[in-house]
Amino acid sequence: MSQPIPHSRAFELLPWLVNGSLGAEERDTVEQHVRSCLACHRELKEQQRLRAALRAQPVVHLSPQTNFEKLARTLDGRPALGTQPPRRFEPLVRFAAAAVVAAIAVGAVLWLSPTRLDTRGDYHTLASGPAAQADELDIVFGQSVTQAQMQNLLEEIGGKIEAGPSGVGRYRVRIESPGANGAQLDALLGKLNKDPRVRFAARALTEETGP
Amino acid sequence: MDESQPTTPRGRAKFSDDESDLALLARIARGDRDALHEIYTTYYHPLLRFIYRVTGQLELAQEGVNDVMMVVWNNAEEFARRSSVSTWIMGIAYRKALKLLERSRRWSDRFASVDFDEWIERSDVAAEPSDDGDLRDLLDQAMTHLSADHRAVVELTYFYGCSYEEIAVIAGCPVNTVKTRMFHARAKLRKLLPTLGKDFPPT
Repeated sequence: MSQPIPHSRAFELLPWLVNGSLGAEERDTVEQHVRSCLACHRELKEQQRLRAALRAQPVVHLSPQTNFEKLARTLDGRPALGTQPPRRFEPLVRFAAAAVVAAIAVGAVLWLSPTRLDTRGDYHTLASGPAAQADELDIVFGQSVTQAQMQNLLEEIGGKIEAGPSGVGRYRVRIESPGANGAQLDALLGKLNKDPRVRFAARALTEETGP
Repeated sequence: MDESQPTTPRGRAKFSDDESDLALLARIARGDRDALHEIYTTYYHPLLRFIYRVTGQLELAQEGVNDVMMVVWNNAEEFARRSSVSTWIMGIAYRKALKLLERSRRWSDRFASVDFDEWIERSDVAAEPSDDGDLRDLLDQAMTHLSADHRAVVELTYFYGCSYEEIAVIAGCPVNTVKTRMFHARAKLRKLLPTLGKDFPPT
């Protein structure tokens, strides 16, 4: 027969008697106490009921794949499928690498040629294109941000929505502070990108931000 | 024995097998992305639920799962086997969840227009549940009024079946702190749900 334990100690261990994780010796002593203690007996019933209610609460079921792909992209620093590329694509990868080398070589020849075409200013990518207006930003707000919170944020930065949201939730926002210079906008962008209400903020691109 | 470092298997979280987890960690340490995918799939829902229960926000929970798995990816090689893999991972999740919650509160406080302490005094949390479904809803509501630390202990005990020793490792605190947190959480839940002790049909 196990040694009796103080009421307070048995009382605090009841949750772990309920979930079955106490070691054999501790379990025996607590059970022995509960048999002779009305308060602990009632508390045990309450905790059993609490556990049953908690375990009966619905579990959120979401597919892990989409979230995993996001993690994989973070690991790669580029879009990824989430698993290592199958070996059957290796010839294609080698061909692509060769094509890139060839393109760089042709580019170098054209660059060194006295008759090269000047295409600067005619080309930009989504990531690095020139700003449409010096005082326009593209902003994607967090999914849980309410309209009132958006409005508050816009008031804080002196911004006004010019267009959007696009298919990916991007808004074009004009900063209405007169005389705002590039450094001030960069500082504002830094602040926005740290703001939990904002998922993404950058200088606006030249394309229209259509709905 | 250092009471904050249990090594007995009885305290393990119940949703994975430690041997297979260890094998996966060894592969992850060698940069095996397929192994990461496998452990991710195994732990996704347990982690999602746990972080969601601590933070109360699904979006934060999804972000938190990836934060945890990033740590697993980067630190698999350094896993020291002082606890089971699942305890180690849940410990990472606990710390990430608290950080995410803190970050979330920093900005939500700036918009808070409701005095929750006042609200709780006037709320209907302690209303009579008519059935167990109502009790689950009320419990859900009542849990949000516990501190994050207390929510985590209740959740780890009753949903994940963790021993108090294992919770101590996960939360990085002495076992007595775990018992004290649970004690206060029970007291608060009893206050919020006074009908918990009344006789209802067993669930």
